[in-house]
Amino acid sequence: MADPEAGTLASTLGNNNPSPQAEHPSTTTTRAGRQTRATWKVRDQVPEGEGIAFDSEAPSPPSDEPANSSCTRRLTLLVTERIRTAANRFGLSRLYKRRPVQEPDSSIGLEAVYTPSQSQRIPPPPKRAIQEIIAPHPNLTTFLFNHQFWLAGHKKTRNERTALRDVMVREDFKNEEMLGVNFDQLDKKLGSSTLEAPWVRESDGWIRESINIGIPPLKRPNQAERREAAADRQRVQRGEGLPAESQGIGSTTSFEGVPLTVLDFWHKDLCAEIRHTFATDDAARSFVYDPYLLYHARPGADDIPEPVYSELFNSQAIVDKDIRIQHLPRQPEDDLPRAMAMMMYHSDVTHVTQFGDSKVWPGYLYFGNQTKYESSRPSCHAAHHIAFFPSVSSLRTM
Amino acid sequence: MSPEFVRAYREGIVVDCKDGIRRRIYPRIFTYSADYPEK
Repeated sequence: MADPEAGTLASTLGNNNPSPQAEHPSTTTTRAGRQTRATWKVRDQVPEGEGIAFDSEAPSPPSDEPANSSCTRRLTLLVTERIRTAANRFGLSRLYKRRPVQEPDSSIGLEAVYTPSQSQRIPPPPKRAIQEIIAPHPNLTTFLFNHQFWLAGHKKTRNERTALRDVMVREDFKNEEMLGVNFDQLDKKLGSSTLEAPWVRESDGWIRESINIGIPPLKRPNQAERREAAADRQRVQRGEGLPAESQGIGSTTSFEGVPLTVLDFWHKDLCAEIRHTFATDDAARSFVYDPYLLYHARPGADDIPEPVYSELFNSQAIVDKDIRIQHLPRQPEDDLPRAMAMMMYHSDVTHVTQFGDSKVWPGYLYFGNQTKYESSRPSCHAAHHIAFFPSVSSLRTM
Repeated sequence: MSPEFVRAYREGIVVDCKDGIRRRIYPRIFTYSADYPEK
């Protein structure tokens, strides 16, 4: 059995009294410089993945499961297999409803999951155009000049003189660019709050859009409206409709209620975010593309395995949705394996300053393909900031 | 819900995933959590 930890932690197996001074193989250094060690539970009993090897017995023949669509006339047959992995030392085993494309646990280093990790590499801030950085200065020379003037300090010093000389001899310092620049007006612009908020720049992929939403009316819905709402819900359930009740993201096709146009809704393109994350993010290496169900049976005993729920991709709903996706109509030459991007949204209100009342309402996107142990770690940078919701009180003037 | 997202929902996006396998990714929305304003 391929046990990734066997090599490094084998020396601790059976050793119940490790000396604290000895350099332990699982010792890591945190970002602060502290030496940390895995807990005794991990050192004593090597963590083992549930899907190390497939069950030796042949998989049961593909079974046809009728889809759970109660209101349609047509019946879809979904072909599933039942592939079970061998139980690990703790009795956990996986059940796949289709053959997984990714070999289970071949790429996930379990030691990395259970022991405190080094800090993840923070992506460098995106490059911005020079015009953006020096705004509202019209050119680089003006910016350098004004920068030196304001930030040099309030007493005249010899260092200041040297710094001024260094600015003026720069190759990109052209005197003629400063002709006709009104510095007083420039200072007014710098001090005002009409500048674009630095966190919503278009170069980072932010899109500013105005959307139409419907505010639900105060009166209670009558029988006809309630029937329509129930029909809408069923459409969503079957995967044909799209949810339109998420806060701020309104459907532009049809909505009920008082129409309201929200100007200046800043958000990111979701498809671009998905593409970017799955292709380039380091975390995507440990994403789970083949959801499965977990079962536990006491090792050695003859119990019926009982279901275990751990991650989002261990739930019945995900596995069912995954099977449905595999059965979506396929183009003639398309033989690419299919996977699901499980999107989890979260929104909250945050105060932007330590005093005062200013708040923003960001919206975040998490991927359910990521194990919860990673997405709950701040150092993993798992949340993708994708939207700013304008608060309703600011819309009252419209 | 931009038209591009609706198309991605139905047909999937082809992405070269980080583990080396090229896949057709279908976005599906599963959870939405939000906080209630205090008082």
